[in-house]
Amino acid sequence: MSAPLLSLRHLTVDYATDRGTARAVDSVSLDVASGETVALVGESGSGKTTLALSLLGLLPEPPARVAPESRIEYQGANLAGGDNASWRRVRGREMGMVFQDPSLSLNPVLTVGSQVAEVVRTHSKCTRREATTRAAELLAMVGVDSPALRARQYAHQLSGGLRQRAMIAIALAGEPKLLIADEPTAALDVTVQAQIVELLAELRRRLGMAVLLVTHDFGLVAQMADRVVVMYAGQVAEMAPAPVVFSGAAHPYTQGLLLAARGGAGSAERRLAAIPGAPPAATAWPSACRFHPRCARAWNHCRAEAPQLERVSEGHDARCWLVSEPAGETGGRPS
Amino acid sequence: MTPLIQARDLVKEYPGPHGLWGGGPPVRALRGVSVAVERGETLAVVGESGSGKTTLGRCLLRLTEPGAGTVAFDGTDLLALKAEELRRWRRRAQIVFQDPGAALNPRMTIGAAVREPLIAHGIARGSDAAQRVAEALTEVGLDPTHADRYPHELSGGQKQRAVIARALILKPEFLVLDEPVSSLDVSVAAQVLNLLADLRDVRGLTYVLIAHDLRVVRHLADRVAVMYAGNVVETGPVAAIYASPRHPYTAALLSAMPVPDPTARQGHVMLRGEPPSPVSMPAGCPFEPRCPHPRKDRRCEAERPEFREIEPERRAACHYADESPAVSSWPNAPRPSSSAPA
Repeated sequence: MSAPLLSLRHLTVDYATDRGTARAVDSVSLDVASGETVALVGESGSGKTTLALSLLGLLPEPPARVAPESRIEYQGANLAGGDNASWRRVRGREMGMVFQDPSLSLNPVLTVGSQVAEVVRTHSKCTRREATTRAAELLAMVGVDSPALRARQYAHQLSGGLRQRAMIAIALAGEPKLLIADEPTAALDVTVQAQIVELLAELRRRLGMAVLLVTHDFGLVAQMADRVVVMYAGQVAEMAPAPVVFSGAAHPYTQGLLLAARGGAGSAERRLAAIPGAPPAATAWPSACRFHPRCARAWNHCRAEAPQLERVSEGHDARCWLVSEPAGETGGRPS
Repeated sequence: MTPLIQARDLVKEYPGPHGLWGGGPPVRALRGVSVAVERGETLAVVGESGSGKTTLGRCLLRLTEPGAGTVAFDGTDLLALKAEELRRWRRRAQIVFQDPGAALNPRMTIGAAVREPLIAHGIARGSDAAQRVAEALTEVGLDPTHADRYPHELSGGQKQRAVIARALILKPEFLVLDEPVSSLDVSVAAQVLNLLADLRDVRGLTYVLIAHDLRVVRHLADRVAVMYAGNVVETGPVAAIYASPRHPYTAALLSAMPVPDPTARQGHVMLRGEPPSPVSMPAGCPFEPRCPHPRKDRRCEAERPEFREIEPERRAACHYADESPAVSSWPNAPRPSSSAPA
């Protein structure tokens, strides 16, 4: 296999808080190959957004601090610890980003077209006029009707769906090889969500981009992802090719999330499957296995020692004692 | 049997957006909406942003005064109540909002927040009130010691439980649940939905559940009302709506729902465009410009479909609602990018 486009090794991010240091991302290693779509799945506080921001050097430091042993290798070069100038060579041109809420990401006092054109001019030497033309082309590419007209409008004149299309146009202006999309449909209506998913899928096919999709929605994962990385409490809980996750997730947390997402029946009739408790806070990760306080299948060993990420099958890893089967303990693999 | 709550022909207009040269045309959030909910029943009101679902929920509680129409609660004309009568009536009907973080005062303990309705209505105070607060917290699955905590010390799910406890402490009969779990994590949302189902069964509560997520609706609702652009376009029992939607918008909403299964052929009908702006409405069927129904014709452009009974307990506002739209046979609307002019 050729070298991955993006390769994270032991990525660790700490936040300084008034209640001590919070390790929001704890030694995460993962790869994204060229043209591949990897879904980073987790609930609030799992560290998924912190991880995404760290890839572009967008974390406010301080309070955030990327640990020195962290490696963010993009096409073989380590970006971690780089200065502003080195980040600027990467942002937009190599990796583009789409955020959750398009109404917070667009400047309300500039036209949409000028914001797209600004990014075009940042990435390539061209005249103002050429940038304006290119901006309209980009808006057309992301499915904006009458792009020349829309380019002259302001964010408040556009619907939520059109704003998100404009944000995608901005992210694509530098022709990145990797698009980081952080909950790109969460703020949109259901029928508009379907349109944006379709657009992202089409752009990926046409441009051969890799996508890192940050989401909590397994419906979105099923539609888009080649591979899935499930995060819990700052760590990778499980990673596997998408079909494997849906058919044979090994980690009880992944299984619980899927059951909740499917609206599956729990124990009693007409009851939804829920995971008890709430996602923990980064200032107080539980000891040993971080999922044990919420896990229905936890046994003594889970409370005593932290499991490592172990191979379940080729390309499928999980961090769970049900998979690792420590010596001297009994506990079968999940069916 | 008379419904517990019955709204007829509700109309609500908001003043148009302010421009530099005067206000725009009024925004019509509700355009003649009628709903009825039987005692003990859960009616889900489903729609996208701007459909009028939140305005409807507020009008049912007279938190917003409708411009026209009637609301009757247990036979009483709600809109005729005087201020003092309305205040007394509020014990019987409460609301749970979407974002529990915004619904709780950050400087008030959970106990004080849950106690407030008791004080405001002069029902209990002192140790009696404290006792009732402890009971209410226990009933929603919190610990009585949570009464001394502040909202920031609680998780999102715990905060929403506290908001539910506050809504229930006056022992109301009717609750409007406005997107009660949409700000919660997936694993926690299911807990809160289960709690709401238990409370309904134990107390015989009547719910109006406002939601944009059909997955939430399926578990809690008995009946569904689908709203589009200020109108109810389809109503019916939840199972029937899911099995065979009669309005093409309902069918499109159902098929746009992402299914957490990569092997499922996600046959979504791609709806073109977005809901119409409440200030400029098409003359005929409000859904016509986006409608992917193969039977769509001149009549849909010219004539507004009547909201009529299709079969017992089912109504829909579509000229072709007698035939269940076979979604699989619909041509997918052109993808947005290919519809863009060159």
